[in-house]
Amino acid sequence: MLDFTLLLILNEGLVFGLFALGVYLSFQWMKFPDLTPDGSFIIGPIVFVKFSMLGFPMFFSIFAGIFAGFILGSITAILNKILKIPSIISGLIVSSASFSIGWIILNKPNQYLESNSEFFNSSMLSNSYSLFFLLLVIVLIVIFLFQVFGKSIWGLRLRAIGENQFLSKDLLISEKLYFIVGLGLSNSIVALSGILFIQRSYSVDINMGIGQTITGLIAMILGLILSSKSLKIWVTVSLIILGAIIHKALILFTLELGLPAESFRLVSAFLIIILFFFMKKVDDNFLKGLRWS
Amino acid sequence: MVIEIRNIYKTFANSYSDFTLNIPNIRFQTGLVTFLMGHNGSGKSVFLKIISGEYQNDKNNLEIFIGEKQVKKIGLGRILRQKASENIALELTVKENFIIHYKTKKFIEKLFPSTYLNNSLSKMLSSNKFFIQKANQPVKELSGGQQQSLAFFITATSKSKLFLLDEFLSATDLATTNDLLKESRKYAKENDASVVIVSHDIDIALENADKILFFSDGEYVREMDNKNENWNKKYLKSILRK
Repeated sequence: MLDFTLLLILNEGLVFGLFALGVYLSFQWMKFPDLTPDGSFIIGPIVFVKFSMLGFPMFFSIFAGIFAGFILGSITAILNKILKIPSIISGLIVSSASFSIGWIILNKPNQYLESNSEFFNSSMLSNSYSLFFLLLVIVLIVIFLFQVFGKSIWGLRLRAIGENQFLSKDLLISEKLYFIVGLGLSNSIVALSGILFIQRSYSVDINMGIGQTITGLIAMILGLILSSKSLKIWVTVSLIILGAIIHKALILFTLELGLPAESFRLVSAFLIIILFFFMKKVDDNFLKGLRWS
Repeated sequence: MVIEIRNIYKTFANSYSDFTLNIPNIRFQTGLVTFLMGHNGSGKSVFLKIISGEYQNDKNNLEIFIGEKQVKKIGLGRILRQKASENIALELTVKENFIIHYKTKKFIEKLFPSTYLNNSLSKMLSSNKFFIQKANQPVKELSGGQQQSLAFFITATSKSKLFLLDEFLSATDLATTNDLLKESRKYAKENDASVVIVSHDIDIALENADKILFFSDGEYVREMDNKNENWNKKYLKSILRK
């Protein structure tokens, strides 16, 4: 039997590991500094809860929540690629609008989960175990999908045009379409992580996405430092998941040291500064080629 | 065979300066290597970017003929930009850079290209022994010259009738330049294509060009072939100074 604290860390780490994979897809593969995850992390679960409350089957509600994340990511891509709004601003617009959209959908700022929105209806400990095994299966599936997609012709082209804006013309492919689908996919993963997150917190709140992209970035950078120069996608994404677990463990450790609960964002901020320093040593070009415009 | 391009027109204007490229008609002979020369800002690169589809022609009556046949396709020419990093994906491996250019309609080949396209990829990589050795190495780990060679061979897989090198050779060392010029000539012959090279290097042009076209202030002003009695450095310099 796992220690309950360890179980909490693993569950939280696996949830935010998925979040970090969404951030990794946009920041590293597409070189797009996407801030939409702050929004898709709330809209995904809110749409899921709303559909569940309306009586739709659980699987349909999950799909609707994930699709809502896809739409948000696509809107950011459209704002950037078609309306030519700078990438950071596009993400900010969508994540900021998500706050209102979430409130309008829920008709209130937060909502406790009703039984039809809960994956497991048993005691908290038993729930945590069930959630852990579910998360493990989902994470393994997502790692597998990353490996297959990243090495497919579409994934390679997405990575290529993310890095080199001229290549879409050489390859005669639509950069707009690739970015709309690419950011849609990355935010779908984030929306899924939001849906899984509320299975642990038992409520959905329009404020729960604020600043979460930083959490994803910390896990991503930790994973990249650990994977060093590995070319195997499955190794890198697995280590990003591990990075998220380490990050959550560090947060818990600092709280155990006696720091107040409200300081965990500050701890994360210091952590990311330190990680940037280490990352520069591993890869000098890290985040250099990001597309800000 | 002759490739003829008509009605090229492009204007760039801002509060500091303006520039117009106006070429009513220009012809390239296939099987030959043609150099484009002219001072900076004469419109050589803009011209290449229009026929490669990277820039849009300002007038919608642009016409391209290959022999007698009019081609509707925009972006007929394949361009090699000056820096290798603008032509390839540095974070992908050598093999993956070939994969992204591979054209296939089969879903399974698109999903698992490394497995299902292995034979075709080996054939593509065999154009250069070095690429076989480095197939699984990220391109960013290759030297500048190796990246230039890779960019050349990848672009050459397009078999385009117009192969355009935009000051591409200015960033390579002498040995690589000579190799790529040899490959350019081979490409022109094997594909019955026209290789068009923008360069400022008179010596290289004199040694390798079948023909030189001169641009000045956005216009195509004259041409000269290598059988001309004035095919020498002194004369070329005098033209380029004007």
